[in-house]
Amino acid sequence: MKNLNELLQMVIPKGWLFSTLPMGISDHASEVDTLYWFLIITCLILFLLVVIPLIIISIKYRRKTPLQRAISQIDHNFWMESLWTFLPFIYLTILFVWGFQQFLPIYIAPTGAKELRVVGQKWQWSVDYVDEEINVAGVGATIAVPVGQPIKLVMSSQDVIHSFYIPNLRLKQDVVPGKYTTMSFRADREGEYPILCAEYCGDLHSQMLAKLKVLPAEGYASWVNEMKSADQEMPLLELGTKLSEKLGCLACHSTDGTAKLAPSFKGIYGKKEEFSGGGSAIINDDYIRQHILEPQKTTAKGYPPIMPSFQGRVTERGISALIAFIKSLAE
Amino acid sequence: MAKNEEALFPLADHFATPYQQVESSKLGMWLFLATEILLFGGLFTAYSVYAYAHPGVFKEAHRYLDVTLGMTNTIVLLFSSLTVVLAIHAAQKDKIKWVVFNLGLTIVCAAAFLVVKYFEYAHKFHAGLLPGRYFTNATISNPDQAHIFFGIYFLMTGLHGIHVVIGIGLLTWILLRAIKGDFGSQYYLPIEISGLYWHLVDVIWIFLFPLLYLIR
Amino acid sequence: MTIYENKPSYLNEQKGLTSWLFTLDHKRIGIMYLASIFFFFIVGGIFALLLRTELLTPGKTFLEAKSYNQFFTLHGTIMVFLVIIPGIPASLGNFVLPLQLGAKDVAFPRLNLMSYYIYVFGSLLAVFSIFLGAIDTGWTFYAPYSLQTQEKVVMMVTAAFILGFSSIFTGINFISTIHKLRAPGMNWFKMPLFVWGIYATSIIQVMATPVLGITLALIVVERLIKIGIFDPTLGGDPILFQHFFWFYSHPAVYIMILPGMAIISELITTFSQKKIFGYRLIAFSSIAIAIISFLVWGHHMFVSGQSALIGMIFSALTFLVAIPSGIKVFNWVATLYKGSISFATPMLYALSFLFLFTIGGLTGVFLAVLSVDVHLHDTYFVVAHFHYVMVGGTFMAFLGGVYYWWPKMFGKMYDERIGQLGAWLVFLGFNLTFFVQFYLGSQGMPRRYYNYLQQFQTLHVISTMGAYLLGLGFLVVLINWIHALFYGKVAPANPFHATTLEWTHASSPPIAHNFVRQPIVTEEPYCYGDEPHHIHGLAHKGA
Repeated sequence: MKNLNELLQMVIPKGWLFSTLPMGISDHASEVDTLYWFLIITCLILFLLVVIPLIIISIKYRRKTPLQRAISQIDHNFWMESLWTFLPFIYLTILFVWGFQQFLPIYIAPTGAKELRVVGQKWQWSVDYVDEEINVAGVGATIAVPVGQPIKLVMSSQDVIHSFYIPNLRLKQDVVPGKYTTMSFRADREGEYPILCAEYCGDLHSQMLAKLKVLPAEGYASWVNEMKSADQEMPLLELGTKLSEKLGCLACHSTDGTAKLAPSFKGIYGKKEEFSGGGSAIINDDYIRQHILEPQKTTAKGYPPIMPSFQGRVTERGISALIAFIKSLAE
Repeated sequence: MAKNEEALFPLADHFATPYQQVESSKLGMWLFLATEILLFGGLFTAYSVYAYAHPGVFKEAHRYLDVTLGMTNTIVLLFSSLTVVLAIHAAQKDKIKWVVFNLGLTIVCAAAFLVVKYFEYAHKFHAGLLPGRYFTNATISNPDQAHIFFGIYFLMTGLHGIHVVIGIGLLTWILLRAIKGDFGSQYYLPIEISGLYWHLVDVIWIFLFPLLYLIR
Repeated sequence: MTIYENKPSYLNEQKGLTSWLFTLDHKRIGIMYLASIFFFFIVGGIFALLLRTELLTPGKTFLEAKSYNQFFTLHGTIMVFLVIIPGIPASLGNFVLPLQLGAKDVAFPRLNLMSYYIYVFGSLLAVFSIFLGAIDTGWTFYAPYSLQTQEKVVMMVTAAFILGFSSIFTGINFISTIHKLRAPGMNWFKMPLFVWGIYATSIIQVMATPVLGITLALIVVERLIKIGIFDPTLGGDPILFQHFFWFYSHPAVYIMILPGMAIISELITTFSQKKIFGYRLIAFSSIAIAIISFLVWGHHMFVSGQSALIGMIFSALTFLVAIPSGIKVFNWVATLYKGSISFATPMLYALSFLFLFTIGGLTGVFLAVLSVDVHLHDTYFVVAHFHYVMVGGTFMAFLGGVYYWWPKMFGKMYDERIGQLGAWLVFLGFNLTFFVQFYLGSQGMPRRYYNYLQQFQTLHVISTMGAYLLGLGFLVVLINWIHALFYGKVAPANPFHATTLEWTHASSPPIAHNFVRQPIVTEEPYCYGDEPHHIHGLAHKGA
């Protein structure tokens, strides 16, 4: 499959001029690129159809003496006005039909599509592979897919609206809390491609990155195995360290004592913490477990009440691992 | 135009004729009413979206509204629209005493509307049938969703109530001017303009009432 | 003050601060709006320069992430609600409309003054909220983020709500004025196209702004008492917010561009001394744009999670709204044909408009195409598109209009060479800033990004350099105007040989009541060819 973009880049030496689009890695991307280039060329023509007559007329009919009158007061021409009413109408109709023909397949998953469930949260992505029963999450997480395999994404958000954007696929879809949105694709080129959040979601919106890694079939299988074994055999402390990253705790809790959007984990185990609205508690195993599952019950004094619940997102073993991790940072 | 007619109509400086002033003022008020319809339109849209999404909740929740009180308010408002028209009619006939009487009656009706509203709201507060996080009623089924209905109920009737209050202020001002002798058969434009506003307040209630109280 | 002329005019017939603060004169109110709007333009512009400076490096340059997010929000909020939406209608519209109609004032002068004070109050509240806790939601206030963030959302949203009333009242005033206060003999098709544009704008202001009002009120209520309308955790629907918000905000962008187009019609005819080509088509296009603008809001939401079918309907309607704009551009170019074209400063801005608005409009076509929009939505391509239409379009027209009506407003001329210098600096700076952003967006750079991938840095640096050049250009314009206020040469009544009533029947500047005698209209608005065109002054008595 020859990508139109690459073709142009081969022909015209000035690569940068035509590097308006990142490399397309699917048929859908190539089709969108074709339409995009059609738009560039036709809009350029339309632009010149306005600007060139404008420049010629301005120069040819420029005023040479202060009280010079216009040569003619012609103020209508039925054919010309009809022309530039109906020709644009036809052009735009073509664009409309072409555009929606490319648009619909995004939302129709082909048979045999592998389902991935994506959850956005401030400020990272988490992806669950339904068949393989693995999960990848965290800032910069690698989301692997087999090359040539249709993928269906079923997506939602933990908190605010985010948007899952893969420029190389020419695809994006908002993820909305309280509902599921879907998007399908098939990546046909191996490699690593950025995934960006494209709906403003707060402080670290621009750091909510992930990586789409398109692997050959065997490469994908070994990646899955790697992900599977990692969690089960891992000792609690190592698991806790990993989870604190994957689940996004470290976006708000630091490990070195600096206060970010939540109290630092360093030295917090065993400490007595004051809550906004009165009351306090010792930060022990019970407190940590309760706070992970029902964080809105208490908020540390001086911090915003923004911690989301991890109910259903972490196993009992995971909670124990996190406790071990936080304990390890006690002074 | 006869001299004394001109003297009675306070022609503003930038208008050429009283006719122009009357026509402009009426057009201005109609345009303002259009904006009010769009303002409430947003809330009616929200109502439709949620009624469609939660039909069961809406059906059940609206039974907690007192239809008798709502109907009373409807009749009161309709009557007050009539009295406003009668006030204009009286002005056209130079019957200033009737102008004052009818305007006064309109204001009394508006106040009565608010009193009934007070009782309705008091009952809701008492029963915990409140919007959002203040909802505490335990007897209603699906309490975690019923607050949506009451949220919309309070928003719509609340915004309408604010407009009733503004209407009372407006009509009181017009009443005072009528008592002062500002109006007559040559000039009753402000009564007409206020009347138009008051009719809108009435019309909005005519749509609110069935949607909130009567839908089965 | 040396600002005032010696002959009696609206500027000096009444003197003193209170005569301005309590004025009912549409001309004075227009001038006060003009000064306020440009003041807030500078404030919004400073935020823009801070943003662009931060974007010189991929990581932190000198701002924290939260500050950056606040600054882009404030830049957008101030520019949209305090500058561009009131922009042309409140300032030039107020000043010129009654004059062009042959009227003494607008229909409701006291409402006009109240509109101004509402604007001032809302604007001050907005600025005040910045000091208490500047919002960081983006000017679009999307839920649920706007419901959760800790900053002073309620205050800023209330300020926008208040500003909405100013917009509505101005619209009501203008519609009533145009319907009822036209000079005898001026039927609808004898009105200048500036009036048609203001009329179409006013229709949108009156119909759309209340919906914004209710949307903002719902945000406030949601934040304060958690009513559960947009918040999904309370059973609400965040996408409903987007529908409500864009139902206003899309027509709002036509509130921004229609007055700009209205000015361009005036500039093109005057500076080519030619009848407008296709008068009726341009007039009807303005109304068509106003009506269709209410039907396309969903094109901001193609990837929001709304159904694909709805996306298709909105895409089709969006293409429809492009057609009247295209008609206007071609008609303007055709007007110039065989004209007598002057390159005075106002005309430089009109030509700038034609160039830049065409790019802006055509890139809008890209975004109307569903599949392409999926890639370009929420990227710098969109940022470039709307700056091309709002700044390259509306703001260029605004500057051109101020330059054009300057002698009428102040009775003085500005330095023409500095005017031309400013126009060129602005044109070049603008293109340098924003053209590269089309590339950035196509390459996948999302908007509202504090940090960015390393590969985008070169284009960002170019864009920032352009922003400084643009800022310099605006500074030159400002200096030009301030200098003209004090040292400008006395202007004749009709320096550009225009044919509309404000030029032919009113002095420069006009007297307080605009006309010595009620003008009576017998001719079409752009009657250039009918006879050798004199400089019409007070000597010309209407028939």
